[in-house]
Amino acid sequence: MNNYASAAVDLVKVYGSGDTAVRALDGVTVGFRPAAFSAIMGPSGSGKSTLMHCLAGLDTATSGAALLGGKDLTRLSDNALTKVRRDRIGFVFQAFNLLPTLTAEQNVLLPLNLAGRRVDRAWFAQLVERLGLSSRLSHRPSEMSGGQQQRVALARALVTRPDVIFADEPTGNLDSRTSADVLNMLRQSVREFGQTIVMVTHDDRAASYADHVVRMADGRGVQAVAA
Amino acid sequence: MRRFLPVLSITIAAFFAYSTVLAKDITERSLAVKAAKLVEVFALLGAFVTVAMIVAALVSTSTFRIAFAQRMRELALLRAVGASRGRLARGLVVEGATTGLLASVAGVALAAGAGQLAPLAGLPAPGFPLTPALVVVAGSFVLTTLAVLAPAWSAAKVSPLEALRTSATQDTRSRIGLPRWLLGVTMAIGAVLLLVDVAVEGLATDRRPAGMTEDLLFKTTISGTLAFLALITLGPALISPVLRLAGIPLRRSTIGSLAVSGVGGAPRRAASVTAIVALGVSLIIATITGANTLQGLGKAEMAGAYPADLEITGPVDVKQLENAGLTGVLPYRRAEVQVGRLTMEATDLDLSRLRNLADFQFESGSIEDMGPGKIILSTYTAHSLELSAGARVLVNGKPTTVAAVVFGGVPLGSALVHRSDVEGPVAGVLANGDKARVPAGVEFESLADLRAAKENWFTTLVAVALGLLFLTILIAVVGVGSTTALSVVERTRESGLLRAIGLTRKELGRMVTAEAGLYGVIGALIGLAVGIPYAWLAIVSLGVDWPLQVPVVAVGLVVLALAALTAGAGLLPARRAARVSPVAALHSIQ
Repeated sequence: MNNYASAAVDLVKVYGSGDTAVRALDGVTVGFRPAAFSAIMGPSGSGKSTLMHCLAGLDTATSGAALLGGKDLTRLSDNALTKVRRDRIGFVFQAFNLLPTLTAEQNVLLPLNLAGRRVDRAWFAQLVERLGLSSRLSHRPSEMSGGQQQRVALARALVTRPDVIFADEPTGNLDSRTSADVLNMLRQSVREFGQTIVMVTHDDRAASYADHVVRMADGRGVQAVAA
Repeated sequence: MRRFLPVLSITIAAFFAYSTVLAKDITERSLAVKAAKLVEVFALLGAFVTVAMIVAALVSTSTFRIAFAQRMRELALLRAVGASRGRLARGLVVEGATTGLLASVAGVALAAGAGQLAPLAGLPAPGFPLTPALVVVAGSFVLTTLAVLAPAWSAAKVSPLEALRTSATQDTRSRIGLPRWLLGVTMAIGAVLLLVDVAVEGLATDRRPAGMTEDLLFKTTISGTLAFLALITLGPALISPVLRLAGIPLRRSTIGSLAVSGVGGAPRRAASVTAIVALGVSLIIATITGANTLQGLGKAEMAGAYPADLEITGPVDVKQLENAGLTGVLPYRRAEVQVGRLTMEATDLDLSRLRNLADFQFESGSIEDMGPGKIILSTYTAHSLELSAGARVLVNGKPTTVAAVVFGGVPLGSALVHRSDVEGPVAGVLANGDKARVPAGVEFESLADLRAAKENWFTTLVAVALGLLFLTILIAVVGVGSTTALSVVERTRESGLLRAIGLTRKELGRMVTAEAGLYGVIGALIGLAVGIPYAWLAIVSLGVDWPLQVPVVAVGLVVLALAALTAGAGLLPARRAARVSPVAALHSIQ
């Protein structure tokens, strides 16, 4: 499992207890290759988001292991998990989740500022240029379209050069043209920058952009290789 | 619990109001008399209770507004399924009024309960005065109902479409409409015009016709009220420049900048909560500045009125007094003098030999300038004769130089002349020491006792006023706490995001605490800017002949204490924000 960027080993997540207990993850074992664009697919309630939350160190598992580059996240304290997220993981969310009071540039640089890390200006300029954000840097989220906001969110995830970017339904709030645009950018980040991306989606068209697809149903995963 | 946050301030105000009633009851029982001076104190208390009530109502309005904004989806859903605007508004008002009634009853009950602890302090237990209790409950109930009206109406205006939105939008507008600008600027101009009017009139007139002081005080009050209303009206537009200033030290750290932009992100909310803090602070600053100034004057007046421990009148033997153990024995002679067109009592007391010489304040001239052919006058006399140190004036027909002009008054009469200019026997002596040492048969008055009584009275009054203003501040701090709590709930997603991309629990907590503290600091800065000019204006309107003395250290302490208190009020919401898991936060609908 150590040659995967991110992997789950017999991962179990139970919500609640007794009669009302729900096994959201029922012993999932799956791995995601580095420098690849992977998708986790499945209908709602299949456990795909829970899997992503555990792999990204946002949630704790009931048993099993969630590995990030071979390191088990399930044994880490909240502070250590926060550090892992800050330094090694990037996020893109369905609802963009930009801070409304910050400009696009401030939103992109926020993870570096939180970590107290120096900004690599050349890398930042390259990202901004590739994502077509040059003319938007001083805009606030409310002055940008959904597609633009999602590109800012992607830049925010890429700027720290994380081990893995987790994207949770990144096109869920976008129309089909903008969706294609964002998905192309995700794929481009994998090709050009060697970024590892794991995307959660219930949309076949979105999943078709990925190199690998894991299908989830009832808390269990089936690894499959897409075209 | 969240439903009761908007009325928490009302509970405190009701508690405070009824405690005052009980305090009066206890005082009357323990003294068994209705002393005339008590009436004055309780009139002052009543004024402060009113201010506290108004502050509580303002806090409650602002908190209701936020609480309703958070239920926008629920309200929009009700609108979507057919509730009319009016019905929604009525429902919210009834809800607010009901919680207000419970809050008022709780406040009175708490005060009654606390009153029963009085015997522990060796005081008689108060009764349960029913009429005041009902008045307090009814008053706070009416205030809460008034406070909820505007928030309920604007909340009921929600569009049914809002129910379909996935996330609530924050009110990030800082612009205010033209009518609001006009109204605010008009009130601000009104406040300034009145301020200038009072200042000019107050400073120009030395001899005031009857009723002028009351007139000026009334104008000062109106001007202050206008200034405060202008502050509330223009608040959202004023917040960002003040925030830029107050945020400078915080901007250095990322968490600090996040806190600054968090406060700036909801300028309307920040404006209303800081205006309330500013009201409390400006009243406190005005009171301590005013008290400090009056105390300075008081000291000088006391120095003039009570220059020594004892005043012994009639022909006395200095040796006999000194042998009895009295010190600083200082004989003086009296003379009636004609200064310019005024006739007055004067003595040849040597001011430089008084123990409390340092307490005297000279408007012009100094004690070293005194000598034969010279005179020392009080500011009052000097102003009516338009004289200052160095001026020449006829005293008993002889050309004389004014050596110095003293604030507050000169001891034992209206003027001091040199001993070489007075004839006749010794009229009395001043001396220091225990009154028990005065030999039998010598007529004397204990100035020390008179002075102590007067000083205690003033100190008590200032302490009572500050205690009550502190309670007003407490209500404002509660307002900051509930505003921060609701703001944390509103921005759950935002804190979820920050946690996801690498903010630790502690750091998130620090950010929320810093936001709460910022509300306090901004409020304090505005309060300072308003409080000090109005303290000066109040001194001018009172016609007090004394320069403004700002107690810099005390003012600094007030600002620091307020920042600490408001940051403390943010601790609970901060813990709450930090506890929520990032997943839960990201998936919350708010």
